[in-house]
Amino acid sequence: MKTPATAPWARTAFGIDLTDLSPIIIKATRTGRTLSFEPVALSTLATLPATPVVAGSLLQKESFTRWLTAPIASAKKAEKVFPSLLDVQLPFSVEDCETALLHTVPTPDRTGTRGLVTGARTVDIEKRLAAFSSLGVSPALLDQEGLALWSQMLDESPFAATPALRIIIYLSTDRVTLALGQNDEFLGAHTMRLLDADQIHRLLKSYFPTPPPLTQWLITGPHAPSLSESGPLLPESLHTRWPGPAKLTRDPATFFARALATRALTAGALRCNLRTGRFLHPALAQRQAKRPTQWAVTCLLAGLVLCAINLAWLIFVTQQTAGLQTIFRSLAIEVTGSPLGIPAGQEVLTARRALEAQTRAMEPFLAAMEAPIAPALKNLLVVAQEEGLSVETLSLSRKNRVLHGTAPKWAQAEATCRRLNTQGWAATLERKDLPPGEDRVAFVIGLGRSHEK
Amino acid sequence: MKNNPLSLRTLWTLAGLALLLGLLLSLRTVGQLRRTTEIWEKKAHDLQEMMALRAIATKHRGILKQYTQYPATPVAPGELARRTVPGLNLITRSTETHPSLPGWTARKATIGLIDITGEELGRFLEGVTTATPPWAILDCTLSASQAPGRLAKVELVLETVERN
Repeated sequence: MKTPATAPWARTAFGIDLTDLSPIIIKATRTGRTLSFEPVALSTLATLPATPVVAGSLLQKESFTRWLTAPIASAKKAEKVFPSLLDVQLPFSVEDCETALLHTVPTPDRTGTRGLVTGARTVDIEKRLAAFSSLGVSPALLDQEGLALWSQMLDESPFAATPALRIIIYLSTDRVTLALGQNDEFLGAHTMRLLDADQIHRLLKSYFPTPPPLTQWLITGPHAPSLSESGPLLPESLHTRWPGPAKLTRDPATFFARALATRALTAGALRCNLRTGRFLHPALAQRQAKRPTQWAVTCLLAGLVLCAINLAWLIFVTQQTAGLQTIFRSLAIEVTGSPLGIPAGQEVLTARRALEAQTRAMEPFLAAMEAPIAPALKNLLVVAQEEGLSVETLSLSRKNRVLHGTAPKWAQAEATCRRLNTQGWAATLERKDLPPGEDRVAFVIGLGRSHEK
Repeated sequence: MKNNPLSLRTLWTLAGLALLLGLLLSLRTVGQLRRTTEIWEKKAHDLQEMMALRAIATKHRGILKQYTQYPATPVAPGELARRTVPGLNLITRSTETHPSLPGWTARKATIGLIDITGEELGRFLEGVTTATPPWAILDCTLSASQAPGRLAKVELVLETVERN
């Protein structure tokens, strides 16, 4: 199981920069997405009710960072090869180290994989933990100095223009550590006893044989403010050969402690915890041990919730169906007038048939309720008379509505038809033959209904 | 919770069973969703139809209730003619009965009216259709007379119902 490199469950974390003089401790508190920082005294840690999340670090001289290149395009396969490659690069056996693979990227030609590894010898880890222990502190997280400086620099001092080379230098009374990178990519970290311009120059030349046009320098650390007061931030010889803007970070004295606390509380690139393996903090070990149980419980709950949702749906559907069935049955009884002879599931069919039979039997009743014929008859006769038609026969029944007649002119028959159509009839006109010698025209007007009355 | 391998194994077994059961139930539910939707859509349609049928049945009951308040025996067309158009020449060609709803009999009468004016016909027809119980006019055929404003003859088929 992978060692956690951050403490996302915690709201506060303490970053400790163990300097020569006294430890610098910063408490970071997470509120929503923002972090607030305040310096605290060492004694504060001892008085906290619960085990706090303390983030310390291995110094650059006690640890290492390496870029490894494996001629394998698959990152998963390359990971298996990295320990062997690391072993070759280190002056000691990788078996004597705790390591962490932070990051893999394909090579530019995509035929291989590059991986960034950090690590430390177990003896150095023991020594470091002992140093913390002597202060009554047991850090849950053991970060790596160079990586912490680099990531905090990216966090706090993003540059508007993207320079080719970025360097952050940490200055304290006991060491000088620099972390460098190209644009946003970490290249490496180095440490020395004092600020040595020539040594730095040689280091940088190993990365960039030709100095880039722009190098950005950030200076931090407890010793940085006093350096800035006494003169330029960088030695002239170094700044001339690697020109570019140089400035102090915000609160340089607490920068590193802030970096450790920030990295403990937030997820991000290059997070690592070298207190791993047999050094794993008991609190983290306990958390890890609980994980399988937590996962099992989560899966069990998820399964039960899934079952519950489906059962609830099934019950809902069954109830709704039963409810509808009851409604159908009561409606069918209302329509048929009797609860007998209504098979389950046949309510609609039974009701429909019963009503059809009832409607047939009620025809004499319903016929009397239809629109009375007298007004229509009267209206037809009036229209015929006004248009000068002679009605021979008029038949009005449900199936047959026909008017046979004669008129002096065909136009009168047509006018009659038009009038009838405006009155809601669908009148059709046909000519009839008359014996020769007749000076009138004979017609048949069919009378349908253009709309139901 | 103690890190007991046995209890962890049991927990994972239960979790696995619960997830499997949940998954199977979910597949069943999803698989039946379409069918359930179709059934409910049909039931919604059936419900609409049932409501419409109920409305018709209610209307029928209303009509029947109205008829029960009428006199059991309808007034004959001849009597209606005497009341509406005194002196009207009415010939009853045929009468027939057939069962209708339980407790009711339908009565059909075919009558002829001779030499009648349009206005008299209108009065007679109004009389038969507003009688209690009313007569329905199933068929009306009239032939014109030579005399202006008069109809040579009118043949009517009337129908009513009487309580048994």
